[in-house]
Amino acid sequence: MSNADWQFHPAADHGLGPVERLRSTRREQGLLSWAMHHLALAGLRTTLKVYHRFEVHGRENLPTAPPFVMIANHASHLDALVLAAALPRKVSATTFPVAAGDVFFESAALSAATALFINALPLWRKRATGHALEDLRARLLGGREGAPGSSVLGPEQGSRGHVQDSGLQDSGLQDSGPKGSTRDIAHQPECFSPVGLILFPEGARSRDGAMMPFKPGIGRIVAATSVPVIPCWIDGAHGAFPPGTWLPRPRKLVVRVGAPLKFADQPESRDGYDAVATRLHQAVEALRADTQRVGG
Amino acid sequence: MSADANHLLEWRSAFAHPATVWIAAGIGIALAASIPLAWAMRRAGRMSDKTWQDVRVRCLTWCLIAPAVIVPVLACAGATMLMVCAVSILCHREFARATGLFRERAMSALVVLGILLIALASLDNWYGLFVAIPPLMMAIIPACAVLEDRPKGYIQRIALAAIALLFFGAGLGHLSFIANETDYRPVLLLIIVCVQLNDIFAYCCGKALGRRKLFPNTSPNKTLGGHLGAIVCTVPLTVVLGSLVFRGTPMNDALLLVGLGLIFSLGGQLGDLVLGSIKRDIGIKDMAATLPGHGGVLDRANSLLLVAPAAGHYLGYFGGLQYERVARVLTSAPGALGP
Repeated sequence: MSNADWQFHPAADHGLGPVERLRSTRREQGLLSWAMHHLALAGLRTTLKVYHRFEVHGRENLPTAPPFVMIANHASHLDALVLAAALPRKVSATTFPVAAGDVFFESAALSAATALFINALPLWRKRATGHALEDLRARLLGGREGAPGSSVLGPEQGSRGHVQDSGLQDSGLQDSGPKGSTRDIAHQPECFSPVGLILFPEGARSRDGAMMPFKPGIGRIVAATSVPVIPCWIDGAHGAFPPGTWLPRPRKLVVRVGAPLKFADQPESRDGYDAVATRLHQAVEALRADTQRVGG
Repeated sequence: MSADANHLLEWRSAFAHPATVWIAAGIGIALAASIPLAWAMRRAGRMSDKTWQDVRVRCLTWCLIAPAVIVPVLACAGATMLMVCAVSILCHREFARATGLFRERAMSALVVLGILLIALASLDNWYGLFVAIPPLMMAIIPACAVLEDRPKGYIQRIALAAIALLFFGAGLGHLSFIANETDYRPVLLLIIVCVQLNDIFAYCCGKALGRRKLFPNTSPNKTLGGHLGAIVCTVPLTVVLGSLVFRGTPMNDALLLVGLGLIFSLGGQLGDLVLGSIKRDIGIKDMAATLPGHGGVLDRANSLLLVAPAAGHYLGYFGGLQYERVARVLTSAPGALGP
């Protein structure tokens, strides 16, 4: 008998210290964090339902399995929670909202709360490189590019090397972890399972509630892949919890979920990234118009 | 509250046994002296900068580990049992994350359940349940794994869960059950101190005398000099401390104490090698990065994995542990028997 078939796959974040692990895009949920996340989600769904009369329109468009990316307008800290609560339970554990590292992962305690309860991954906005986006792309696809399991790459993806740093300096989705916590997936040999990501391509919360242009960084994550991107419009979050306030108000929250879009035909270039951002912006804008039309 | 329940929270007798005072004082002095001693050796040119950095980080971490373990032991039996349970769960967590078992949430949860039940049996002084949990869980784990209807990887899943349960639940759980002894403090301190010093003896002797590698494929840094040095240092230490701890009991016999010292030294080193084999098989250096300089909690507790059950039963057999209290603490069932 040979035991060569016994293969061990340590956690992708193996070898990282406790705080470093919380801040890593390689983080994998254990039993405790899985239980805490689900408990938090149950509490969140109940709170949104009771306090904000939360409604989801277009549930048929929600993803049923990873990989996928959910994107939406961003005008409130409630947005990521609202999208996470809208998802079916069976994909919740494998879905990661991408949160600003400089806000939600600054201290160890806040990192622990954000990672354990929201299951968020950090994106450090102040130190801009494209490597963090490659890390997110690798995490989304389920492993290093070209590695087994990366079956969702588009037709032009077979021999792709490192993406040129072509004009993403102003993408708004660029970063490098300040404490050595990111830039760590694309350079690791491990394979991951594909995941879902929740992203806000505006790059920051809108101060007045009006949707801002989308940064091309979203294109860098999904261009030339067949990963479905689900556009959503979140209505009411700015009124319920606008920037600068400390407590949410009991306003109604509605999420309108649009049909998934794929960008396998978009090249991995600045033009391709811009085209992805523009197309998604149009999709979310259309959902906004639908919501306002229905709402009268 | 019954006398048996009082035992769980009894803190006034922390230093009632003279051996407890001596061992606790020795730990305190060793911790306080470790860094100055290493610094002096470095100044005298007896230690390289690399070794100094290694030793300094290890010593600082020891200053956190030692109180985290010793204070609950000195405090009361209940705190000791909870500490052992926490260490067991942390060891399981590191093992599961290193082997990938953590992705099998049902298996991982069953191991945690087994560890908690073993802790409960210790708290209750229910020896029947304590010895029943491992075989019962070994019936439940494969049965639950079948329910997933996923034969691919079945043997690996249940084997990893079984190893975790037996090593971290049943093995380390013996330290917890020993705390039911009225004079448990000096016994537990003896086990913990001798086994951990055995590691340090092996490290120092290996650095000073080590030439011939004994298990080059499993642990290339382990040498014959380190192994023998550890035995030569640990056995006399056990005899000296043991004669204090077991004064007035049948275990206060030089030959029996030499046997106990051999269990500490050989068991400790074998536990280290067992974990070394696991790490080599997986292809990792440390089980985690929780304790700077040491790796993970399991890298520190590995020496106790084999020693805890071996020493527990050795002491029980030769009268080093009396197990004089037979009544359960939390539950009451007629016919409850001690060991």
